[in-house]
Amino acid sequence: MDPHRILNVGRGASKRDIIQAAAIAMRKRQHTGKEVAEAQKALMDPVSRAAHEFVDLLNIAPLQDSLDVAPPGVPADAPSPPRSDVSGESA
Amino acid sequence: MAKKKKRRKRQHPSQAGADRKVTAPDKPTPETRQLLVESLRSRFRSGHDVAAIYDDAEPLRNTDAWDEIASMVAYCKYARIEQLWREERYEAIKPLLLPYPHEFSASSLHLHAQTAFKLATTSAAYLPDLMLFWLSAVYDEELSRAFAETNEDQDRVRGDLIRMAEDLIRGYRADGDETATAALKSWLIEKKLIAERYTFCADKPELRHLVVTPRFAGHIGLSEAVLGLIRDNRNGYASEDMFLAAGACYSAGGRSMLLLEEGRYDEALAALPKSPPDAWSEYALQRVRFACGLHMLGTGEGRPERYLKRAADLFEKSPQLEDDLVKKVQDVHEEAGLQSCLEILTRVHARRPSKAIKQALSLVITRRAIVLYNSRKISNAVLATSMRKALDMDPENELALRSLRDTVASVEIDEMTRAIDKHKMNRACRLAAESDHPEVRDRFFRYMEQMLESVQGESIRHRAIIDISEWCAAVDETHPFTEKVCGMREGF
Repeated sequence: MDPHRILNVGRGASKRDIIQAAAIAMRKRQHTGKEVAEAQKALMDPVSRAAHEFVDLLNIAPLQDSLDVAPPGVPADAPSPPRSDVSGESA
Repeated sequence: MAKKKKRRKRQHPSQAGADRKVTAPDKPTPETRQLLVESLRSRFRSGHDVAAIYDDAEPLRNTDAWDEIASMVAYCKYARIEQLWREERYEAIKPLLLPYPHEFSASSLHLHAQTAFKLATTSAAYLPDLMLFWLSAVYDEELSRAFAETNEDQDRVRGDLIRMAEDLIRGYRADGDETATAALKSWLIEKKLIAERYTFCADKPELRHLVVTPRFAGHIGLSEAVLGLIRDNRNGYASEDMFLAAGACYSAGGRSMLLLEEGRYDEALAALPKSPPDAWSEYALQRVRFACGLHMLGTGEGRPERYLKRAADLFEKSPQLEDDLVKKVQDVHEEAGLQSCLEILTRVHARRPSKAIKQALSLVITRRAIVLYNSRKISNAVLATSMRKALDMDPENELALRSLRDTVASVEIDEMTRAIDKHKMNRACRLAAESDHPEVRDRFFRYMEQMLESVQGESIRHRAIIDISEWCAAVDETHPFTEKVCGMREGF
């Protein structure tokens, strides 16, 4: 189970965001009610949430930043723009 | 309007493409290369479809132009990985990570561990990847800091992550996957070992990078450093056996130790170092050979005595393994296996005459002698000698006691029969009278009965009754047949 993908939320989501995302996911019916409830439960618990972040959220920014190359669309001397983690199709 | 059908010439699959000239892709000329480099750079600067640049740069690999764009392509490779991750195409990510590097930043280790986990959710074939990276990643100091602020919370998250991976392996095992069954065994060993390393380094942050599994330590060339950590914490182990076993898993024999846990005996033997460079490798060698020898005793294949030659040396360090040998020996009943056990236990007994080894050796001597006797390879006398030897080793060996008693009775019956056949009746009577075994006397009286029945003619029968009554009385005056034949004599 990938709760971030089910609820379509990223690393910084607050508890309120998660509850709202669960309500939206219920309405969309792309996942069963049980799956949505389990995803919500997994992300509301800090320990479980951290574990799922480790498993599901890909963060390639540090790997790209470690390379000697200016990010695309940015002049070589400009600071890198902040980037988010990747979990799902619409994340 | 009638559609014009395209007609394809049918041909045998082996001929397909035979009429198409296949040539290796031409390498781009220097001019083309330069144009391609400029084009890729331009696309990269514009930020348009960066992920695709990775594939489009492929023709430049192994050319002079590659150095110019290597970093840019590597950047694009990560973008491609990100794209594939979003599309959940984890199988397509793995080739982009191969060959696995031998140095890892925390982020790189995380990426490899995450990918391995996702792949392992799709097939048990990816469990080796999971086992290479997972435990070492979840114990990584930098990655752990991202879990939570306090050590206690980090430990809880780590516990969850370990359980998630272990549940995955156990799930495949529950489905009957044999590789998962084997993988779980070495997973449990590595889980214990890395937890041990973590405990050792709890108050030594400078050594935290040594909190890795044996498999990962071997991959990144940290095994020697971890062995140093184990050596420095010798007092942290309850026994020498535990100390050596831990080090053996990180030593040059470590891969063999893990293969052994997985029950891959032939591979474990093949992976052993030819000349062990340290005490841990030597211990690994002895453990692997010991386990393979026991396995051979169980299967009845190979020559276990070759692998158990140095069992006594091993028992000095790991006395509990003696029980494994003794238990295994108890299940051996075939002649060849018993012969191997005899050689092994005799050798061990010479160095280590413990009660358990004496009992096992006594049992093996007894069983082997009985098997040889039953296949008519030894006589009653040799059988009796073997039983006495077994009883010298273990006087409480019930099987030897019973067999010896039966054997001695058989020997006496044989001797008595020979005496009767040679008409040495005084000797036959003495043997029957002095025997401790009632079956010897029973046999004597049966012979006498048969002899009496076979006598023809009155005068001869008369003489025979006199002789038989005297012989029987010499053996047992109170025996019913003695009384019967004496009665017949008095009737004359």
